[in-house]
Amino acid sequence: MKNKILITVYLLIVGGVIYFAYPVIKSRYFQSSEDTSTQEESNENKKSLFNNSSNSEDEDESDDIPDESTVPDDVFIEVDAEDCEDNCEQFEDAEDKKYCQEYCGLNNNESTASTDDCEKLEDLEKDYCYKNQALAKKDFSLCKKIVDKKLLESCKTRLTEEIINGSNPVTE
Amino acid sequence: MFKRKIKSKIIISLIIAVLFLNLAPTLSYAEEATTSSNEELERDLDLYEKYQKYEKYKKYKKYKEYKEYKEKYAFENSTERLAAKKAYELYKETKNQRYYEDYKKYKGYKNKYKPLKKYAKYSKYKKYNKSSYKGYGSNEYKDGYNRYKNYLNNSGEVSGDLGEANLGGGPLGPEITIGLWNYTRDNLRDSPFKLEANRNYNILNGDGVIVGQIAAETTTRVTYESDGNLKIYGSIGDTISAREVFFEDAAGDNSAIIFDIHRPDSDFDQYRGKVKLRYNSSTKLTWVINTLPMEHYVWGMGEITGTGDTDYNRVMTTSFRTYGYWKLKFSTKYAADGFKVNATPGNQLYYGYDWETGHSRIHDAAVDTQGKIVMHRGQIAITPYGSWTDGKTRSFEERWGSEDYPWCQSVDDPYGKHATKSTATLEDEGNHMVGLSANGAVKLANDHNWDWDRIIKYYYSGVDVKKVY
Repeated sequence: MKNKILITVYLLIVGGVIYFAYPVIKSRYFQSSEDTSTQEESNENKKSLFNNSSNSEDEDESDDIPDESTVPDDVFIEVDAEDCEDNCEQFEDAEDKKYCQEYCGLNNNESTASTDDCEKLEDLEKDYCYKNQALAKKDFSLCKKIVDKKLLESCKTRLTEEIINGSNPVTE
Repeated sequence: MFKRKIKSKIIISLIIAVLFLNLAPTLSYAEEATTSSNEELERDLDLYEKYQKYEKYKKYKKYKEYKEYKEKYAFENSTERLAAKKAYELYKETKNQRYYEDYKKYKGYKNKYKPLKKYAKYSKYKKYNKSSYKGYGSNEYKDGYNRYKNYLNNSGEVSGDLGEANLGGGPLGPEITIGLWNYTRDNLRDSPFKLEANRNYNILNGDGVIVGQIAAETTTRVTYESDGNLKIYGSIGDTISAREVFFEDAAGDNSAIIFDIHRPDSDFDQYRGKVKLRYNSSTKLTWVINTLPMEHYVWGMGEITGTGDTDYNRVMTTSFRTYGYWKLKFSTKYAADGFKVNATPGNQLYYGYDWETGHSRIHDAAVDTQGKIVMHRGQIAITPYGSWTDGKTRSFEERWGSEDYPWCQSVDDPYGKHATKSTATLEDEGNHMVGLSANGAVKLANDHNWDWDRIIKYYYSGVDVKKVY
């Protein structure tokens, strides 16, 4: 009888030890692959920072600048939701500010232009024109004519917002 | 017999002793880990905050670099830039020296100035230009930052690959901002905004500075002053605040506080979380905005009453959450007004705490599906829904001309078919018939015992239901 009690106590102790020790051992000795990748990413970041700073040293040697840009050509400038909430006030450059406002939909310009008018414009002005048209006409095919990737995304999501707005009634 | 008992006792004791000796360091570590977990968390919070300062310091440095290159390579306007771009391309093709100067400038613009343009907005971080912040960039700080960020994001059974749906937040999800109603300047002057709370609350001005610590049940009023300024009064002396006023729990527990905001022409006055007023200089309107975690938002959803089948309620709360999540991620429509989604049926009808307490089955269904949204191949799958169909739903492409939402395909909807109304009548009444049919879902849940996720996967093709927080 006593033996049985001892064995039960023994099993309980072993169980308890394993229960408490397992997570500690796991976190101590087995680093997750995610942590490893974060570390690798951090090293990569460091490398790219280093590369950037070395670039800045040869700023006078324009001819030595590599042809490959580090930012895709199809995005003019980085803009995020925080910039939209700030009414794009952080941008000093007029062209940057306009891009931000067009991206965020803060321009409030109802398009009166025709598709032909947009075609006559160049570069970003053409993209802005198509975005305004797409929203005015609720036409996704006009969004597709936008070259700048971020403006294209904003055109599609904004148009989706406009379409879904008022389209979700539930009558039980 | 006696000897055998002694022997077995000795053997068992020896085994326990050996085990204990082997694991003693681990055990003591476990104990320490438990007792010091709070200290570690505080330490990580400190590292987290300092690393954020370093990030801002770094961004300001990049901003200065951007300014330098701007002097050298920026163009006056897009016409000048486009001309240089043409010359750049021509020089690459012909090597004609005529284009060389423009080629050189455009090359500098493209490869040096343009990559730094993303830092153009960080003049705002000038205050972080302190050499002491430079020291907060080491791995020690970065690791602490990552640990604390993981701690904030972790909540048990979150699905592995969240794709674009990783928006942070705790177990109640990321915070969403909801525009409740707005005032014209005259309206706000004539009938000032007023609020009380069930707990002590802070008032913060447009710069985020606390201008008053107010006892529970004390009324604060806000009116429009002039030039985009709001005047706070009642609970504190007259205080002018530029553009915005914030109300938050004084103890920092915004999950516990309930504000009574005396919503005009409404029976729904009480709201969880935080409240802010924001003046929009373009529209000249002042919005009353409620900020709270996604789950609390879903609890106050006025689109349904919660009286239907439990699985139907689960379908709907998951749809509401997914729509809110999509808006949180992508919406720019109300950016200038300072919120992501409005509280009207145009977006999703939201009545807040009063509705939540009066319709507890919505809350229960939201808890059953907590943190779960509809996703399609790593994308947040916006979930259009409507009341009735004519027997089949429509694809997004068929109805609205975009193939970007492939989960909205046409499916048979025999149970959502309206008994008497024609297709034209249904469409005139606003039934777009894209996505989920609410009445079809009711019958599938009620009469055919379909589970909520089966219903979702029926109406939205090829989707997964993922737990994102």
